[in-house]
Amino acid sequence: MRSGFCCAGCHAAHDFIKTLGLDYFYELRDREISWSAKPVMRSSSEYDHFDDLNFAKVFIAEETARQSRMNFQLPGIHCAACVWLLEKLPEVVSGILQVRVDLMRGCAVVRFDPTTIAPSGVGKAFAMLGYKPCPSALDGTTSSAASGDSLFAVQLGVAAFAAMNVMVLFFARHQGYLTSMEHSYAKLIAWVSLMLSVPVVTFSALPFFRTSWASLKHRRLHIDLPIAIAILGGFVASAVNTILGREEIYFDTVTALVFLLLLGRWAQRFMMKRVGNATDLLHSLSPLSAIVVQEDGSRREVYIGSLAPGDVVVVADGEAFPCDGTIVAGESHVNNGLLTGESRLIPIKAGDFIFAGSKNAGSEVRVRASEIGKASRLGRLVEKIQTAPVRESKIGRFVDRISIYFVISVLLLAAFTFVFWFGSGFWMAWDRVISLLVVSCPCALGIATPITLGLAGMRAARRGILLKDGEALERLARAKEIIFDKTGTLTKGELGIEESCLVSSSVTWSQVWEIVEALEKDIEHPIAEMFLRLAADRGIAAKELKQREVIGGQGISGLDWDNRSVQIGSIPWLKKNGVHFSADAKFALQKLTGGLSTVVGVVRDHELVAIFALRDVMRPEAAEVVRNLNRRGLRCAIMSGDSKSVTQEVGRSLGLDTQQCLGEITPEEKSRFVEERGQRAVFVGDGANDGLALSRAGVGIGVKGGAEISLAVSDIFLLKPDLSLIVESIDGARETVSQIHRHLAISLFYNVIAATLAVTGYIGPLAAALVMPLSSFSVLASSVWRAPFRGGCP
Amino acid sequence: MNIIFILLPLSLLLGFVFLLGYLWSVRTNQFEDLNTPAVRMLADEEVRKGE
Repeated sequence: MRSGFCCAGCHAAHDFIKTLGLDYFYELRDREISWSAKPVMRSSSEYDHFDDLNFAKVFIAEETARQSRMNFQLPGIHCAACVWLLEKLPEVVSGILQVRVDLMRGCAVVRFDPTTIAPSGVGKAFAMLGYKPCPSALDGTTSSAASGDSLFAVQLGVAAFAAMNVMVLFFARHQGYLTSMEHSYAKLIAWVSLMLSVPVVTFSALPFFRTSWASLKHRRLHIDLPIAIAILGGFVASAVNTILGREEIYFDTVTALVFLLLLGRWAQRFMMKRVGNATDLLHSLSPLSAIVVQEDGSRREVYIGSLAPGDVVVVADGEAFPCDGTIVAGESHVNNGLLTGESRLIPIKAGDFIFAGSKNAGSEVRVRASEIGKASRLGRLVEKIQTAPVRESKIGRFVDRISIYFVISVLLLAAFTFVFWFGSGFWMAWDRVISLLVVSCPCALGIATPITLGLAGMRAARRGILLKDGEALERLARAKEIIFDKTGTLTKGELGIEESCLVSSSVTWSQVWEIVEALEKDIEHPIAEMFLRLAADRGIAAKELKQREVIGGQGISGLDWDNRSVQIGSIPWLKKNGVHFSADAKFALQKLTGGLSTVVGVVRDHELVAIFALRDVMRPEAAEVVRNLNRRGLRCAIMSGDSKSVTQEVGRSLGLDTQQCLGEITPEEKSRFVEERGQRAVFVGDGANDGLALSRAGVGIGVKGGAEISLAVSDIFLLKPDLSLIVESIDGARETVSQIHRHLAISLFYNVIAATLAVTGYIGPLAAALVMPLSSFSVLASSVWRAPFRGGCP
Repeated sequence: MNIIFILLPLSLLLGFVFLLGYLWSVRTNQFEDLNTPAVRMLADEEVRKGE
């Protein structure tokens, strides 16, 4: 296993397991999580900012005087070993009272005694084990979602209890119908069923009444409306009949209906992935702490909320800027990819303005803070995303649009039935109307639709596609156009070697790679990391340099094992150092620097020996995906913050029309363009600069790899950076929708027959109790039998 | 057959006790996280020396 370990504990456990000869465990494990395993980097942070008072206000809940609580997101956990290790912390670190890990959500709740251990100590304890604790804000959203879940669980439980008992009682009752039952028993069963049904209708069925009421108030359609009418009509009429001592009661059908409908909702609710807390967005994008240089020159780590405009902060190479501000000292490069989608590193020097969330790539710089937190450009962007109006879906749920015809026809039919049978007496008409209301409940549809969506969601998640809701699937099935972001979506968002060229006959490639590996070792810089990864892939043996000097943002020079001088760095810097460029080298350079890539040269003995052209490399599957989408009748387009020429070149290589490749677009413009394309446009993106567009598009598809912000705002989220999942999502969505339509047809067929029988007086409580489950089960069977997102070709 | 007037409420009462048990488990958040406990029990075994 080459991928590295999530933590020191896993490493130790791995060695141990290997000595036992049980490495098969890793094969099993890797099969499931190979795409999410990412080594967690050790942070140099001392977690001093955890002790800040402003930090405590946002992140620490005081439960008692000697017990406080913090919630952490732990991006690196994914196995049982991690759970075990973290939950053992209280035994090792005094003051930590309890650690509870939630493996699926990748978070932990830590309880500690603030009189024994400082919050920073808790942070350090996690860091010691190799986990990076990212505190998550204690706002109401998570707990209210949890209490909503538990309320739903109680409603479901009560409905299940009542429905099962009523069903048993009605078995006896229907039996008695045929054989004749003593009147006192029938009465007992009726009254007990009534009592059991009261909590079902007044408590468990509340979600249906609430959505119907809301849909009436807002004049929007919802499938719950005919369901609510059936539940309420069936219950009230049966209650009246019980009190009057009449025969026609439907408590069994009504309670079973509520239970099955809730069960369907439950399937949908728990199979769709719950999406993270939106208020942590800003924190996940820009650092929580900053290192402030004080008057006396000493450095102190503070919580970002305590940072004031005018403070001077130090940002190390490879770290994100914590605030908007002006560089006061140092020279470096900045990667604005997250914010703007630009793929190239931009040089910065004193006096330049930088934005929070962008990454320092080069050397340490000092920044005078001007805008912090919500006031920063990133903060304003996040706020805009969060306050984006809830999409008014023009297409709307197909099932909901059907509901209005349902309601109108059922009510008309009920009125007609009542008038028609009134001649035979009020009670005759009354009984016919109740049976009509009960049997015409579109319950098959109400149960099967959520279960179909839930199954689709569950299967899709297994394929690495997270669906936020069912409506997104319906919109996706109707999509006509797909707009891609470029950086990080179509491309990998990280530098790779586009072209390399050996320009001296005195060296071989393996010698060049040895020099590169030795020079770049242990350097935290995206280019260095890329070179080291490639060197490791090539199996280059590590050699030690005699000496090394790093010139930030320019290059690295050193003395190799044979006492020859070696260098790697930008071409201008090498020229300045008086490196000899051969004729070959000059020719190759002319060819490469004319392009749009970053060029790096390798030097030995003052002679340029190799050149690498680096650029953001395209995802290998991108072209195939575009072809597949075209074949499915979808138009593809690109919108990027990167320069027009780069965008168009990428588009060309994918076979797209130049007019469909828009470059130099700000995040705000992007969202406007996407919105203009309408409900049938799908937007695929990753970074924070795509967030707004993702939330405004007909369907927003977020791709893993960039910022987690796309997770919170997109309708569909791809867990692996694999574009072919988009094709799969579209196929799955289309299949899901066609299945829902099929169920609608089956359900309508049953309803029409049942309603006809009810109006003509052939259906009583017994027949209703038989027909209702028959329709539901046939539809259920059909949804389980052919669930979408089967993933034919894994 | 009049025993049914006692047995029926009695069986309901028994069912109700189970309902209460379910409500208790929901209230104590036992349905919050359905995955980690399955993993946690793998590690619960303590190796105690000298026992």
